Amino acid sequence: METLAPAVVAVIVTCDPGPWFEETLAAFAAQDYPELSYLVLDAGSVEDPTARVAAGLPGAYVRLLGRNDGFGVSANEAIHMVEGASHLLFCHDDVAPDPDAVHLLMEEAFRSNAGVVAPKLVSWDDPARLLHVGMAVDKSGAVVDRVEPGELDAGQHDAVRDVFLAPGGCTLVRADLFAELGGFDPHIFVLGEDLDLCWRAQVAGARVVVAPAARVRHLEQLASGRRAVPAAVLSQIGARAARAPLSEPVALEPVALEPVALEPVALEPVGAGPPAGGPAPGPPGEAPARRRRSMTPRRHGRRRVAMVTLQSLQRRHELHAVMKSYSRFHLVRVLPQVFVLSSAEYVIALITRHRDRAFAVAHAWRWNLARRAAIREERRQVAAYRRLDDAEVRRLQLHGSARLTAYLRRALAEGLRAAHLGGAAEAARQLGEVPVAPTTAPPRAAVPVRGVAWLIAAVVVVFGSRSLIGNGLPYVGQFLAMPSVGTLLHRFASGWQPAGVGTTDPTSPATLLLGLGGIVSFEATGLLQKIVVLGCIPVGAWGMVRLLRPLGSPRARTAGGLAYLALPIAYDSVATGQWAALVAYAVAPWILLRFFRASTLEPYADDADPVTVGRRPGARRRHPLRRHALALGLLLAVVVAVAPSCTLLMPVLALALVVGIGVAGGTGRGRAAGRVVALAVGGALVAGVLLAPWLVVVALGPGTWQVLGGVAPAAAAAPGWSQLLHLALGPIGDSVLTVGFLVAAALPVWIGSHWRLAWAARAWLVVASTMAFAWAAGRGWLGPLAVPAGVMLAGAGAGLAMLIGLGVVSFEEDLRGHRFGWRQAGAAVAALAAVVGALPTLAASLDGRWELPPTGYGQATAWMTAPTVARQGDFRVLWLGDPRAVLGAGWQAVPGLAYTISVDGVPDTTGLWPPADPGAAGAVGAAVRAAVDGSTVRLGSLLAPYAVRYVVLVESIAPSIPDVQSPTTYPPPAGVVPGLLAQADLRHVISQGGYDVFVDDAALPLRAVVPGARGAHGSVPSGSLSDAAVVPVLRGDPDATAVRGPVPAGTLVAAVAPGSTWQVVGAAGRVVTARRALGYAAAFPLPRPGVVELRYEGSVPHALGAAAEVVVWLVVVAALLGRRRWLDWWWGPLRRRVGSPGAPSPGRGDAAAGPGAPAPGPGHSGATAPDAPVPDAHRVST
Amino acid sequence: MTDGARRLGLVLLLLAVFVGIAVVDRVATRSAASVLGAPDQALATVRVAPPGVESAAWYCAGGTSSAAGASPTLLLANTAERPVSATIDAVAVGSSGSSATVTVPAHGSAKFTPSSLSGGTDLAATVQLDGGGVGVWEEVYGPAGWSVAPCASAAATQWYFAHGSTATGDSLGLALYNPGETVAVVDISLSTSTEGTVAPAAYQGIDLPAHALVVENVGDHVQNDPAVAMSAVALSGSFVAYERQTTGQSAGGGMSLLLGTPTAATVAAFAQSTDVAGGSVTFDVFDPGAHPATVSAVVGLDHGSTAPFSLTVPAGATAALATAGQTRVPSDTPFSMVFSSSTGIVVGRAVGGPSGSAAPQVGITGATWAGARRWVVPEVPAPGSGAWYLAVADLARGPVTLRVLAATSSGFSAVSGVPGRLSPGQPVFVGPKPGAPIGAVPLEIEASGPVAVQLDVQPAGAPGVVVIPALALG
Repeated sequence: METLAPAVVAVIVTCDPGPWFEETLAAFAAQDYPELSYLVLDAGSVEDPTARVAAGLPGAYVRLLGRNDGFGVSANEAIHMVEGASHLLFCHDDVAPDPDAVHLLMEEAFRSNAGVVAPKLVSWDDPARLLHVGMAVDKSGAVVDRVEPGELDAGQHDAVRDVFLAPGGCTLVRADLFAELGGFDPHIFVLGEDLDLCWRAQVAGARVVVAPAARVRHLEQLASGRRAVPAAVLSQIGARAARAPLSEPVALEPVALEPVALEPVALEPVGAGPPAGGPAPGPPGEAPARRRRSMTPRRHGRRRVAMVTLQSLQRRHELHAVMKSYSRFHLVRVLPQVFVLSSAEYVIALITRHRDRAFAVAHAWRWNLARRAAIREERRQVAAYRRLDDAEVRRLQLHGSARLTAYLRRALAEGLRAAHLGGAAEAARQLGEVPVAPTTAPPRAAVPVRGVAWLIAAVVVVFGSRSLIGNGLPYVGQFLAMPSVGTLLHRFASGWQPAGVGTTDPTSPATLLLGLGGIVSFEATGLLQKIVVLGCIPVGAWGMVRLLRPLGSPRARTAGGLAYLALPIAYDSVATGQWAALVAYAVAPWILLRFFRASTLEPYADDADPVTVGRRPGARRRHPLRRHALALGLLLAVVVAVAPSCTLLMPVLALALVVGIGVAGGTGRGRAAGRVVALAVGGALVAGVLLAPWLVVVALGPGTWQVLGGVAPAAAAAPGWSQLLHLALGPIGDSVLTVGFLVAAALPVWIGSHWRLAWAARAWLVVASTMAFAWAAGRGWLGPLAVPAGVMLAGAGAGLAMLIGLGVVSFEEDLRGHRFGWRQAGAAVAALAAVVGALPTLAASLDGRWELPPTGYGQATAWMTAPTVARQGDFRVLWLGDPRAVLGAGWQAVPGLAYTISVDGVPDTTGLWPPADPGAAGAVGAAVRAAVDGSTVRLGSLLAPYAVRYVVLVESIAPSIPDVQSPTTYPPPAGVVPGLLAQADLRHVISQGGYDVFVDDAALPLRAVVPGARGAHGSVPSGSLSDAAVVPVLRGDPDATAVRGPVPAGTLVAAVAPGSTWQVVGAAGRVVTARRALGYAAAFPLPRPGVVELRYEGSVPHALGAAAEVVVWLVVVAALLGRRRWLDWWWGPLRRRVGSPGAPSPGRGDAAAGPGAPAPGPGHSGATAPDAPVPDAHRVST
Repeated sequence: MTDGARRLGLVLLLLAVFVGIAVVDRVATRSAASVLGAPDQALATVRVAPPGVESAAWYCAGGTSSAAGASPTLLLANTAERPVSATIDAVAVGSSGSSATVTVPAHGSAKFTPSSLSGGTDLAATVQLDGGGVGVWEEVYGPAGWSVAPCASAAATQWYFAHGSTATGDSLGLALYNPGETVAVVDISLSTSTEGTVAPAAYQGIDLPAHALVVENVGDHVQNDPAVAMSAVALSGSFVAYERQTTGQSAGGGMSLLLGTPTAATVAAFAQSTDVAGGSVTFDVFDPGAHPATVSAVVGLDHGSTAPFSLTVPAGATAALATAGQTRVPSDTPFSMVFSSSTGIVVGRAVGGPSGSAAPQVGITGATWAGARRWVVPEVPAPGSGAWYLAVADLARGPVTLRVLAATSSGFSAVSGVPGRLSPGQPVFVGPKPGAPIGAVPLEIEASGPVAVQLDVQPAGAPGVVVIPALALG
């Protein structure tokens, strides 16, 4: 009968269909759509399905593809085989559409003018339960279902609507659109081909809609784990990345990937036999339901290996779609965000030991980055048919991160553990099974208690930081405004720094590191600042957990980690704006961990298996000291770069440990001490290489220790021994309760034995040594070796926390078998003391900002940026005060008094890394010194040539505001205030609120023109600076190395040093070289007014030095990463690819040679079933 | 070694470390605290900067040429080995000033009359020096009396005066000078013998613009009170305060110019006083603090010290100690007086000469509130006058050695006849001798410990009526 209905071809892709297949065929046979024909594409089934198809769906065409290249590739055959059809209905072999499904889909396709139409997918066994009604996608390609798992169908989703993704299983696609798109992506074997197709369809201007009236039952064999992905697919990347077989039963030779010469196959009618040429290689029969195995990495020899899971496939294909479907503009915006989220997920997964998830994230990036060329080609293809802008395409995408939202939702609703398990939890729940536990999961009974403890600690930290997270950090102490990414990178590369009054000394590599951090954070420098400040707290706690892991007791890890988190050190550092102390807090456990491992002392003798070490004393292994040195050196380099005053932390810790090893006694102590010393020297050398040339210049400068150790406070103002003992360097620790930590730390000495007592001795020596060093340095008894007490106290805190962890281990190990007595009582007292010690920290969390004043000097001196002030030209601000109160880091003017110089207001973060030689700014310090000791009453005239218009004397870390904030005060040394007040040419404008401001009305603008005859000579006597005729010019962006603008005739004076490195370029390109002015600055005679550019000449050696520094960093990082097995996933394959493109992968070789690995035989050629993976429940539709 | 032995050794070691450091820390803290104190800071307001400094300044605010007919003169004495250029800016009440430059020769003196720059009756001056080593005093000399006061080398935020009088015939003025660029706001409170502490509304929030001089007549608010102590405190900025006291209108009176005390100190000393027959010496002890002061006053004689006087001064009040009739104070014998107090005090001295003695007969002097090892006094300024005593009192707890140097064209040379050693509390009086340089040239006094120094000059009704306070050399 002739009909007017457009022709539809149902393309059913089969691969060893199970017993359900007859029901599938029957469902298709029952369709009421008149112009429906069937094309069955068999993807290398072991048993030819032709007979079954003939029986269930007479008239269907069957083509035996002979191999399984995945659903997409198989379905793409329809492009060549089908002509004249209006639409193609792509179906899996495990779906059963209702009789009117195709009819309804076609109706909706025409009604909505849709290119892709999806039906309502329901459960095979229980059609009342929804599977998918279209799906949503966020900008990172993460797929989110619109229905809840197991949601009952009550018609709540029955409205036709646009969706971003028509889930696979049964999808109607307009034939011409399918052809234009080139079909499914052939690189996607399974999972994600639907996302890719729908995304591209929308790029091409087609609508994707869901027609819920059309209902299709779906068995979801693959998603449910009952159908396995061929091993060859799973191993095509994973086996190369890992250096061992994925699992024993899996043969690693991906036979299916070998080129197979297929005979041209005509469309076979039903009932035809198998194609000529014999049976195509295909997988052996596999049971529909297989024993499920862990997807987690498994051990092979010494290495842990991981396999490509369905989750990995899903993740990599999502990323693939992102990388190929966005336009360039959106890709540049989105891809870094996806990277950040992926990195965070990776880190969390590693921390929580969900290595399968971590691997999936890493694998996604590695797989796609390895296909850069192919993706570029695919992007070109997408661009060819792009009709919609990305802004249009993204209308249907979810805002924000679907994965992050889901994580938080799960965390809140079901707990962190469920959140970490992610989709696995849901999938398992759907299957009625228990999710796969992490490989190294601790005993189940212990998890909730420790997990709850950590959760509470995290909540307290976040709660205590809530205001800082929400509102940002005030400019207090070392918390300074983070300049833009461009500024940071420019300062690293330009060769001129505005520090002091200008210098050509190289700056700390921290500018480069923070600049790169700014790029990763999308130039959200405020966010970056919060991360680098507040992030120190969890990093430190994590380090403490790692430090205690070899002790072999989860409880000890938890107790030590929580104790470290509860110490007031970090929060006092926040409260007083001491970033260096925070950095020290973050790295102290990591440094100790390196030393402990290097010592090879039990239980750190074997760090390869962190769980079992300490239990097997004989299992010693050779430790790669060079690797430790590389890691320690890199860590030190980063730490010293961002917080130079942490320089002495490592040597002091090493020295303390060496002493501790000696005191603790035992065999092998000489060797252990020697290894510690060797590691310290090696680490210092590596750090020195990484920090050159900055460190070289610092070392040669006159103020080396002022930079590396910080300016020391006055001896009388330094913390006393009592303060150090109860960790009272700020308002939080200033409580007698914190002595509780000392009491708790005494427990391992009290009850410990064997190696626990030995480590208690070493840890106590660390505590005593660092405290003693801080105390002696504060007294000024160590000569130039100054160091902030907070930095050293971080080392002491790490020792205390370790002692508390050791106390727990001792309690577990050494009290076993003892009856209740004084030892147990001591343990109870220690536990109580630790809790009491934590009370000040808990109390301090209430204000949400760890007692950090809300108002900093940025707000207090905001008037400096007022237009009325700016009209007088750019200017410098001289900051004076106790080193702990003054903004940034600087140089010493007089003992106990530091000075820093900023431009147009408060200094920025780069003010933390002053050059060791203040250069011309040294004269500013000398002038201050003269004022303080009464040698001058004309400080203003001495500062005027340096463009210092304001002198700010800080007496507390932040302005004091009655009834609002009472910040910690650090009064300047006696004589400073009277000295400044005695100055006859400074105007004292503010004298309350913890700081004083003096104005130098005679200050020269930063860039000014001195008109008149002097201009002809180019020399400017300082006495002329008070002339009212001085004209400020070239205002704005005072830190720039090139500034352009109009200037009047006269002498242009640029108060920047060194003046000889600057030049002026006139409008006609005429270059005016600088003449020396004011003893340090530059003067340029300009006989005529005009537009000029003042610019720094640049320095080739500096540029080369900066480039060399970058290269050295990359080399060291690469060398280090190349040795880390958990990063081999990333690095290894790329390295091998670059090194020997045609060489067989080590993974294969390892597999073949590995003990117990089955030799691949003919019957296992690429078809052995892998372990059944745990699916990612979010995105499994096959 | 067993675990028990290791445990014991570890505990002992840690105890030794922690306790040992605690002990050392306590000792170090105590010794550090002992070297701290306020006197140095207070002394900075009357300290001659060392010769090597880049610049120095002095602020003088007591000059007047009002009804008393006095004529202010600035006295500059240079202890440096090079000439120092001084720029003098003089201002009068309500008017801006003008400036002049004076060069003070090496080891020499210079004088300058600020009234040559400004025509006002009340004058203040800022002396800016292109170097150190120069001390500056201000002299007021006229028919109503003669007085010399040091200029201030720094402004301060508070000034105290222990003695003043608004009794009939007396005139008490307070000169406030803001030498800086910052506006100062000053509150004045008065401690009277009749009404206690009063704070006249007109004396609250006195506005002192930059480089401005304000002179207040205390008699407008406190009448007929022979014992008025004053406190001037800046709410913002800093300033210099001088007391101008005129006693009587006849030839038997006197005029006193007195720089305030910038801080209440626990020690106050007068190097020389003499209770002459028919005259009077009265010490006024003012406690500006919030707590009563227990004061001990030691009389030092050349043969030793007497038993100390004990006073209790209520908070915010003044107590007087008159030496007349005190058996511990011999008549006509020079003595030193050192006050020690439990809290900060301010001490002033009023000396009256016998009736019929040479004018001026009444003079008010402030105490030396901090000892120093080096002092300088200028040559005696007034025409026809001479030195009476150069008095040095040992404020140290032990004996000190002493040298007095006189300025010559080639430098300072030691003055002969000066005792080389002082015992604690013992005063030394270098009396006038024919041909001796005392009073004729600037003198530098060097001691191995803290001493107090003053130069008594004549003619006056009695020793102590006209005193040239020495300036500490930085």
